[in-house]
Amino acid sequence: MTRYIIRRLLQFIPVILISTLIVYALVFAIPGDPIRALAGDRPMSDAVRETLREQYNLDDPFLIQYFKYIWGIVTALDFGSTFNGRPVTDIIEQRLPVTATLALVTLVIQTLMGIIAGILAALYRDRFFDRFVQVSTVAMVALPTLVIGFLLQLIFGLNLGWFPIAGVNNGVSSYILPALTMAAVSTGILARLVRSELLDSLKSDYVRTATAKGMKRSRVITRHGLRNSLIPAVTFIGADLASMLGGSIIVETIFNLPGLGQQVFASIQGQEGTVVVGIVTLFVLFFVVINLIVDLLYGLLDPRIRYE
Amino acid sequence: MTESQTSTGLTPGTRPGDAPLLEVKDLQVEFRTKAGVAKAINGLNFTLHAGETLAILGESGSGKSVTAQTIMGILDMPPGKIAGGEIRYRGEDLLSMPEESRRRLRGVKIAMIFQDALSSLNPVLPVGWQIAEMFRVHRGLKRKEAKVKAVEMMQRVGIPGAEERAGDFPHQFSGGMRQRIMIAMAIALDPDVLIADEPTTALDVTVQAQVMRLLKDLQTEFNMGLILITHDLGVVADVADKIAVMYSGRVMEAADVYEIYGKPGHPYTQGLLNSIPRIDDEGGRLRAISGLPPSLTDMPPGCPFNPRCEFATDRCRTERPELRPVADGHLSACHYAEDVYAGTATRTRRPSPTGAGMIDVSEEAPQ
Amino acid sequence: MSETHRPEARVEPIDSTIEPAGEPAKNKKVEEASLLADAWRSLRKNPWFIISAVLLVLFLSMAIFPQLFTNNDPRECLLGRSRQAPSAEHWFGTDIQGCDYYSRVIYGARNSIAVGFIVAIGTFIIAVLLGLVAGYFGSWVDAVISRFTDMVFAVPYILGALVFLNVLESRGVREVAFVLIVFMWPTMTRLMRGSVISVVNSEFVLAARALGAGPITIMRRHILPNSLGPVIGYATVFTGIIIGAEATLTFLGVGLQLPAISWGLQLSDAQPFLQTVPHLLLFPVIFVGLTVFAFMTMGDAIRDALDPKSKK
Repeated sequence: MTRYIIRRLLQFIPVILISTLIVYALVFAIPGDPIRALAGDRPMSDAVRETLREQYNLDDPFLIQYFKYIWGIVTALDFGSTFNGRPVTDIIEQRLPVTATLALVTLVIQTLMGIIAGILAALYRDRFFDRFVQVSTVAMVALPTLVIGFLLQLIFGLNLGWFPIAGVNNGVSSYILPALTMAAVSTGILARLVRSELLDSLKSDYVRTATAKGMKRSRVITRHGLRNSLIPAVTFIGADLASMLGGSIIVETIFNLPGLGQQVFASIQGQEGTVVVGIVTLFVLFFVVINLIVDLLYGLLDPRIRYE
Repeated sequence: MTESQTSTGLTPGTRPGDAPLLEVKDLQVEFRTKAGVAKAINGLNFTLHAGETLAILGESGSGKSVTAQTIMGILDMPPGKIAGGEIRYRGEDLLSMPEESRRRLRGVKIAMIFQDALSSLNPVLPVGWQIAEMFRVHRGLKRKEAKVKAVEMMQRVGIPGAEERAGDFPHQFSGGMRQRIMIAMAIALDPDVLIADEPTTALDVTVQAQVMRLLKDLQTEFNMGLILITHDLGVVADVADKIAVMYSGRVMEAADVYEIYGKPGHPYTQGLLNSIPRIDDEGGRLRAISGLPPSLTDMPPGCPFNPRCEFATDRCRTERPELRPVADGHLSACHYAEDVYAGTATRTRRPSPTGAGMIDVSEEAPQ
Repeated sequence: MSETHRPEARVEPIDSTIEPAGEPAKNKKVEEASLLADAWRSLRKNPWFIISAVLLVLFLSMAIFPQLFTNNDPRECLLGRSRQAPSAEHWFGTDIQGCDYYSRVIYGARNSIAVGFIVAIGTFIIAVLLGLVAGYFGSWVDAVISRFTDMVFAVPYILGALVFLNVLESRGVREVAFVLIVFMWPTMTRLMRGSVISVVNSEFVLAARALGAGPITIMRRHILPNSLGPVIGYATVFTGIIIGAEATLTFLGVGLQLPAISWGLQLSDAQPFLQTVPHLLLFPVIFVGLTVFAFMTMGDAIRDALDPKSKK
């Protein structure tokens, strides 16, 4: 087990290197002069330009630039700094809480709603609630995030006025609509996954055995049926949590949340490569760690998985 | 369903005044399928006493597993439906009992062993836990006490190193050991009736004998009534006291083991016996019963076996034979049971050489 | 109770896909026809298919013949009638510039659906070729293609598209479609590869190989027809995803540009006026939503119908 974790952690290194390299290449290899973008229309002396180019290693070959960057992260947790001289870690520190809260509220919403809806749909198969879940999850999965976000804004923000439409000035309630938007697709998938897994499990031989052992229906479902059917749900939630970056860019822009997603978007527009790469690197790390946790959790839930 | 088979006083081994352990009367079970209503069990009767082993023998589709599940009360309903009949445990009808009282009997007084132990044991729970659950739920024991009991049961069914292995999961055991664990779980609370549904079918031949031996020993030790469901005539020979041969959801013949093997009173049983290889039968050909069992949604009129029977007459094609005694303690559902029993029945047809159907003997050119 | 299902099991064909390699194509036609006929029969009974088919016909005709739906010119804008609420004259009201919003939303269908189709077709070609080669040849060919696919897959499409499109001076349907293809081909390729692998290992391919059929024949005759089902279903779903993605990118300001007419641009323009003129947001949201919904639901229905295992 420990050896497995160590090996997995070692495997992280190439994964992280390659994926950050791709992003680094994407951000820094694209045409356009970031210094000029920074200067805008203002005139800039050649001397200043040179200093800036030096400071950001812009004259080095691409791979050297990249390794200098990675070296900075590894040795000094130095994610670089913006062209204005502000450290990227500073920006991350300021923006992270918003995105983390968003992710957390999303996670809670999709886990609770998805699993509960899936369980109830399976237990009341073909009855009204099941039909309702089936129809509404089709819509949740099929509508683009953008559309769901706007619809929620129009209905719950504007018409009903239950939740704020934008910004983060109202505590947790500011996060409800963004989190619902971000959770919609996954909640739909999760509900369907749990429903079909539980139905399969309730038809299984071991559930029949549990019934034959004289267990109460409730115990049969919770102890014998659910346990097995939630294993794939855990995997799905983990994978979903790990890939929240894309969603956060859209959702934070729609709802004007000052989080990392919005920052990435703004930095791409401002050609602030260091900020983009810094934040994406953070997400990659998060992705990899979450995946490891999911794998370990999976083994904990399903003894048939062996770590070799 | 008017032609129910009555068993009053006819069931072998009935002792008057003493309610038998388990009594199944005119049981009828249906399944609603896309193709129509499938009559899986059509008027089933049998009786089981303490310490007795009843083997229910039949091909797949004969309704033997459905019988087991109906007795246990674990039949999936729908699509299954109990259309009529009674199942009496010590005189009390299980089918009219409230679900809660029935649940208290399930696993406690009437327990069951399934065919495929790998899929029938919960893959994510330790086997010790699964056995201990019986003691915790039905006896209210604490986790630790139940664990001790579970280990005792594992030792009793012959699992080496029971104490260490109680924490292992089903996939970590061999097929034979898994089936032993199923057995341990089933007999944990000392049930009166044990139903074993093809308990050895999934096992290697060498392991089969050991598991059957274990079942037999446990039955004697706990004086259980054992219902052994199988398609394998070889398995039942050493273990069973009585045999009920099922076909198309009905009992075709019921008698003592020696009677069935020695003097079958039904053409179907005869066919089954002819289809097993015998060590003393040199050079003879194995004779399979030609044709297939009838579709449960579309039963032939008369005797369900008539399309495959070598002795079938017009009477067999119209009138359904009742289960009736042909000899002391020997029941058969055949119009010509006495003739078959005595070995004097007239062959009307023989299997066609392709094995696909029957050829009327009268239509053949005289030899 | 499993016993009661036994009689049905006997009725099933043994394996309808078995066919000798050198057989004339006639036999195959019949089999395929029956497979498609089966799929069609199950589709017609699926209410989701009917709903999505009706919607798709509607939106496709909107994209091809917008004149059928409106006589107004979407580019005829009078600032004097800016931000009017929906009325009999202007069904969806007017936008900021005073253009008839109904005709603009109608005309918006063309660009969105065009991007959807171009990307779906481009991705489909890439996915089928790479998936077929990787799945059929295996070993290092597979390893190279798969790792490459994994790497691109790891980059969220929205990030890649943002970075790429941001530096382009002018962006039209072609540019947006190209960037989306570049970042979104991996999912379908993985699907195709998996589908091919499941067919490659089947016995009828082994049989064809034993009969001396060459790799091209095997791929074309046996593997391709038997592995395309899930990919075709997904390609339809994917078209919906792309339409959503285009709208998202355009909304974020890196997709299509004015003076193009597109739902994404309308969303982007309407968002600042969410509180004052909400209908400007509502109508394109409904149209994008229904189009994407129709494609995704249709794709799901097709996938189910083509999957011999998901018999309902």
